[in-house]
Amino acid sequence: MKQDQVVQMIYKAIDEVNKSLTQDVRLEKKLDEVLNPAKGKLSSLGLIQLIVAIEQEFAKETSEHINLSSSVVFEQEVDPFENIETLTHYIISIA
Amino acid sequence: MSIYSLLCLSDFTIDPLIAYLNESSEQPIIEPFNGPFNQVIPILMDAHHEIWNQKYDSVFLWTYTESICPEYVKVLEQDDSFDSDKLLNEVELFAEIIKTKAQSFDGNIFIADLHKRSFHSRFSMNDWKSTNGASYWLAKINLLLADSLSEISNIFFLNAQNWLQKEVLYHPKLWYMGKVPFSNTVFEATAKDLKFAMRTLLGQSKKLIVLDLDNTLWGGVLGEEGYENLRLGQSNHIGEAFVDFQLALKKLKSAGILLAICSKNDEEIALEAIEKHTEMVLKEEDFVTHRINWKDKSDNIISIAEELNIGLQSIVFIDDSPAEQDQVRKQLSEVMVPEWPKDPAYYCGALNELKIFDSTSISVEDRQKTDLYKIEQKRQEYKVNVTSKQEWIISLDVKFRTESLSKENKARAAQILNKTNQFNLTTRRMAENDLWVLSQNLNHRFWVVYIEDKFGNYGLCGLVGLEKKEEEILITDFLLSCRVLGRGVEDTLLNFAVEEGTKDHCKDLHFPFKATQKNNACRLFLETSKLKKGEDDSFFWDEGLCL
Repeated sequence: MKQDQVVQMIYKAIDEVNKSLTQDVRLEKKLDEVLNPAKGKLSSLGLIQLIVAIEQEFAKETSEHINLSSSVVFEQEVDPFENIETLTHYIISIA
Repeated sequence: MSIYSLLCLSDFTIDPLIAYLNESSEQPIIEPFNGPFNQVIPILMDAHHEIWNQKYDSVFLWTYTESICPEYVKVLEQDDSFDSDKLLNEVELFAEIIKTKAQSFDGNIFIADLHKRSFHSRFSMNDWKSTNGASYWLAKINLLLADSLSEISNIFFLNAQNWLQKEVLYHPKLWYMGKVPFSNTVFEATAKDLKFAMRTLLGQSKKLIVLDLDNTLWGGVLGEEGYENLRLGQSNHIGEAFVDFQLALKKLKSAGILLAICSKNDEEIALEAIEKHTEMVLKEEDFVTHRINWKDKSDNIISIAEELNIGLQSIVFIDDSPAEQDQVRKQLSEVMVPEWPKDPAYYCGALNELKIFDSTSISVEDRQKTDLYKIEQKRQEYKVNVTSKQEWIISLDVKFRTESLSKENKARAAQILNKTNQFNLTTRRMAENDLWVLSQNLNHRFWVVYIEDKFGNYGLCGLVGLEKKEEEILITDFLLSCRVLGRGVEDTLLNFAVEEGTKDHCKDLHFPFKATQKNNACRLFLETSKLKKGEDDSFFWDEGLCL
C-alpha cells in the first residue's frame, strides 16, 4: 500500500473521532501529531476510538482487515502510536 | 446566555455523548457532567453522595436493562428458571427509586427507555413469546416504567430507539476495549434529542410554520398546470409523499402549531385549488392566515408575524426553492429556514428532524389555537368598523377571571409561563413540577387568568405570581399572552396584582422588571401605568396611589 493512501485513511478516521472529542483534545492532521496517550493530548479512550475508526476505514477501502490492538502492536521496537507517521509505516508493514 | 447543567449517569461509557453536548452550540447550551461509571442506582439512592454537592438543572439516566433488572438476563439466556413476578418487582423497584429521587430533585430527570444490547439483538422465532421472549419482556418492562413514571411531572421517559435506529450503531471492539457500546452517530443523535427535550421544557419550541405551495405542499406549479394536474395523492409516489407531508403538518396543527401560507401565486386560483383538490389534506381553515401574492416572501412573513403578533424567532419557513430560502434567510435572520430536500419522499423526515415543535402537554387551548387566532382576526376586522379603540374595547365586553393555581390548571400555567415573551415582567422559566412545588410554599402565591369576550374564549392566558418577603411583597410573575394585549386586560391584570399584593398593608409592593430582547411591551406598559419607577428598572406601588 502506498503511504499517501494510508495517511488519507488515518485522516478520515481522525475526522470521525474528532466529532466525539472536545476541541482541546482534537487531533490535527499532520504526520508528527502524537497519538500515544502517555505523551500527547489524546486520551486512552480516544486512542481506542481512533484504532477502531482506522480499522473500519481500512476495511472499507481494501475489504481486508487489520488488527491494531493485538499484543504484537505493543511489542514493536518503534511505538506505532508515537505519531501518525509511525502508525502509517506500521500499517504499511502489516497490510 | 443561560447554561444548563446536566448530570449524566450510565452503566456504560458515555464520554462521546459528553463531548457532543460540550461542543454543540445549538440552544440550549448544556454543561454536561459525567457521573461515576456504573453507579446509577447507588447514586440515585444516596442523597448524601458527593455528586449531589453540586446543583444540576437536569439529570439523564441511561442504563442497560440487565443493570436494573437482573432477572432479564434469564430471558436473554432463555433460562427456564425465569420468574416473571421477580422481573416485574425489579422494574417497580427501579421506578420507585427514580420517583423518590424526583420528589427531592428540583430539576428534571430524563431517562432513556431500555433496550437490548446489540449482541443480544438477533432474530429469533421466540422473541415475542409471552413466556420468555426477549422483545416481549423488554416491551413489558418499558410499558411498566412508562406507566409508573408518567405520573411524575419532572420525569421524562425518552425514546432511545430514535438514537439506536442509526446505521452502524455497534462496534464490538469499542465495547470490549472501552465499554463504549455505540458508534458516534448514536451519541450525536442522543445529544440532539436531549437538547430538543430541554428546548421544549424551556419554551423554545417554534409556534408557526409558514409554507410555500408549489412543490412544497403539492407537486407541480399551479399557475402553469392547473389544480387538476397537481401531483397530490392519486396513487402516485410523488403525490403520496405530498399527502403524507400534509398529514404530518396537520398533526402539528392539532398539537397547537400554527400553519400559514406564503406563496407566489394568484390568490383566487390558489384558494380554489386548496378547496377543490380532492386529495388536499389541509384546507383553508387549517391555515391561520395566508399571503398569496407576488411580493418578496420576507415582506410577507413580516406581515404575517405582525398580524399574529408572533416574534420572528418563533417562525419556521418551509419552501422547496433554494432561492426563496436564501432570500428569507438573508432578510430575516431570526426566522428558521431549514435546508429542504429536493425529493418530496424525504419531506416528512425533514420535518421530523427539525426537532423544534414539541410541548410536554397539549392543552385544549393548543388544539384550538388556529381557531382562536381566527376569532382574533374577526375582532380586528370588527375594530376597523368602530370609531375608537376605547369604543372597541368596551364593545368587546371583555371578561377577566382568575383562579388560584391548582392541579387542574398547572400544566397550562407552566406552558404559558415558559412560552410568553412579550408581556412578561421577569421572563422567569420553570418546569411544571417546580412551579407546583413553589406554589405549596406559604410565601408564594400564584393565580391564573382567563379572558373571554363576545367573540369567544381565549382560555388561560395570563399568570400572576407573588412572593412575601420580610419587608416587601415581590411580584415574581406578571404575564399575558400576546393574543389578549391591547384591549384593556393589562390594566385589569395590574389592578388584580396590586389588590392581592397590598392585602398585607405593612409591606412594599415591588414589580422587578427584567429586560430581555422581547419584553419591551411590558416595560412600556409599566412606564405608563400608575406604578412608580424605582432604580434598576424596578417599579413599585406607592401607598398613596389609588387603583
